[in-house]
Order: sequence, then C-alpha cells, then structure tokens
Amino acid sequence: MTEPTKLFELGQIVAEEQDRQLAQLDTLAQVREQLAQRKPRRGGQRVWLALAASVAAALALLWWARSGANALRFEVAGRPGVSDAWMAAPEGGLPVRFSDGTTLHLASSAQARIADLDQKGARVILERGRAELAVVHRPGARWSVSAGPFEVKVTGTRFSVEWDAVQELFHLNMMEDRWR
Amino acid sequence: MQRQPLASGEPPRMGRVIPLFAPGSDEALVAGLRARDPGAQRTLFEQHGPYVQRVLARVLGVDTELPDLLHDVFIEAYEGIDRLSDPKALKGWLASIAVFTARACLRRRKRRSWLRFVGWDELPEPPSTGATGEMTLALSRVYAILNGMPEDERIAFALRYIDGMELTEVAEACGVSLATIKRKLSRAQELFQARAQREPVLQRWLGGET
Repeated sequence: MTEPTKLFELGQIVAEEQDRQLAQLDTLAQVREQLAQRKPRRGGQRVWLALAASVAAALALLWWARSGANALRFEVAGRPGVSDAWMAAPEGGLPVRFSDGTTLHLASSAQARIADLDQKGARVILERGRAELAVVHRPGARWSVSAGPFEVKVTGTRFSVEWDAVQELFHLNMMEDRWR
Repeated sequence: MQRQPLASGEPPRMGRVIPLFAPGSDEALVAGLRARDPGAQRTLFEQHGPYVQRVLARVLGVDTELPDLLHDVFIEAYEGIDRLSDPKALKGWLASIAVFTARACLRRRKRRSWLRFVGWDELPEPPSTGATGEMTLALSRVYAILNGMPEDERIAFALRYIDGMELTEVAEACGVSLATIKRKLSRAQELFQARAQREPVLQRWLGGET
C-alpha cells in the first residue's frame, strides 16, 4: 500500500482546524462535571424529557377524552352552536337542540347564550324574553337557567322562563316536575 | 476516646484498607480504577480526556454529540476496566472504546438518516473568511466525503491521515489485524480520492508524490 504524502498534508490541515474548533468548545469541562456528579448525559435527559412529554400528552388526551370530547354539543336552527355566543331569536322563535336530546326554544325577540357546557349539561343565560326548556333526565345531569338575579336548577323537566329586564319581572312556568 | 473491648464471643470486626489514590504510572492508575477510586477516575479523565475527545472528533468531526459520546466512552471505561488485561495498553484501550462508540454513533445516524430532510453533506457551506475560512471549508468538505464512505474505511482513514496514528495503532484501535487495516486504508484512500476530485477546494491535495 502506498500512501500519498499530500493526503497526510491535507489531514494535518484538517486536524489543526479541528483542534482550533475544539479549543473554542467547553466539551471537556462539561463532561468533567457530568462525570464528577455522575449526571446522566444530555442524551439521557432528552429521553426523560421525551418520556415526560409523552406522559403529559397522554394525560392531556385522557382529560380531553373525559371532558371536552364528551361535552354536549348543540345546534341552533340546525347549525352547530357556539358556547358563550349570544343568540337572538327572530320572528317565530329559535330552536336549539342539544346532543343529549334536551331542547331549548327561544321565543321571538328573546336573547340568550349557552355557557358552562360540559358532559352533564349547560347553563342557559337568558338576557331577555321567553325560553322554553325540555331537559332530558339523565343520572348526574346538571342544567340551569340564569335570568337576572334568578337561577333555576333542573335535572330533568320541562318548563319555561320569562325575564323582563326592564320591568324586572320573572315568570317560571312548570310543565313537568323535577326542579329546585 | 477509649477503645471499647469486644464482648466475649463476638467475632473481631473485619475491615478493608483502601489506600488513597496517588497519580503515577498507568499500572497505578488502572489499579485505582479497578478499586473504583473516584480520584483515579478523575485522573483518567484529566490525563486522557483530550486524547479521547480528539479521536472522536477525528472520526466524526466536531459536532453537537461530542460531549455525549465522550461521556459514554469514560463511563464505559470506568465500568469495563476489569476487561483491560495489560495496564500499559490503557491509552490504546481507550482509543478502541472511542472508535467503538463512534462506529455505533455512525450506524445509529445511518439508521435514522431516512428521517432527515437534508443530508449531512448537503448543508450549506459556512461563509469563507480568508485563510481560516478556506481551512474551515476544506474541513467541511473532507467530512462531507467521509460521511459518504463505509464506516470502517472512514474510521481507518480518519485515524491514519487526519490523526496521524501509526498503522499498528489504527489496527489496535479498530480491533483488527495490521493486514486488515492496510486493506481498509487502501480502499478508503481510493474512495476518498475519487470523491475529492469533485471538490475544487481539495484539488491541491490530490495526486502528487507518494
């Protein structure tokens, strides 16, 4: 085997440049400290970080599956409804249907919004006008209607609420029982 | 403080005297390492850390994994010191661990290479700034070529031509015979020169006297 001298010359230049780069790094000090404290190397730390991130992601997924994913959904006049968005009923009223079968009907010119929507129910905030609610009874169901200073909590019933914010008049008309 | 007499029938307490490590020859250092003496472990790193770092850098280039790999080599040395039969061969033994670690790193990178969008040798060149810039460019092109070579040939080439190890040292570090390393080097030389032809910055180091 013959070895070209110029390859050694190239190698020497490469080695000198490499040594110059190594001198600018603090690799030796870093590893000296890790070895003295028997710290896991950065690669090991990355593995633990990845594991922690995976566990956090799994927990978040579990939480999402148990809460957000199972939360009730609703449609307003056949279109997907949005929590906390105000709804104003046109002439003839506005039908709202929840995924558990519960229905809300806002009479003409009534204004309301759906808040605190979860897997157990929701809170209907009635700003003004008349709302009729037919709540499907389920174990653990939690529904309420807020109107001015009043709040009606129900687990399964059919009733209507009317609130006149100007006159400060509140009407509750029960059609079926189960309320408090 | 008064010494308490042993109760009758109680066996005498046995202990082990461990002398404090005092730096000296490689034999003393290896004895200290075998006794798991922290002082000996520190001394090993102080004496051979720069050399092992250099061997890793020669094979792989200066990259971000260098601290991790250097750490791995010394942990392997601390834990595997009982496998070293001849304390005088300590330096060569460390070089062989470094080569083994570097080879494993290269194989791991190759396995993961399908995940990369940009190959190691396709990264843009750093800006050239005078003589040092030209050297930096030559360095990067040399490793771009080495990145495309088989691991064994790459390692042999780096240790022989870049680090300047003797043929016997290269053979020992790679754990092969002298004849085998000569064959590997011959093949590595051919591969390198063929690929370097396409690199203008390396032209002046090609061909010529042997």
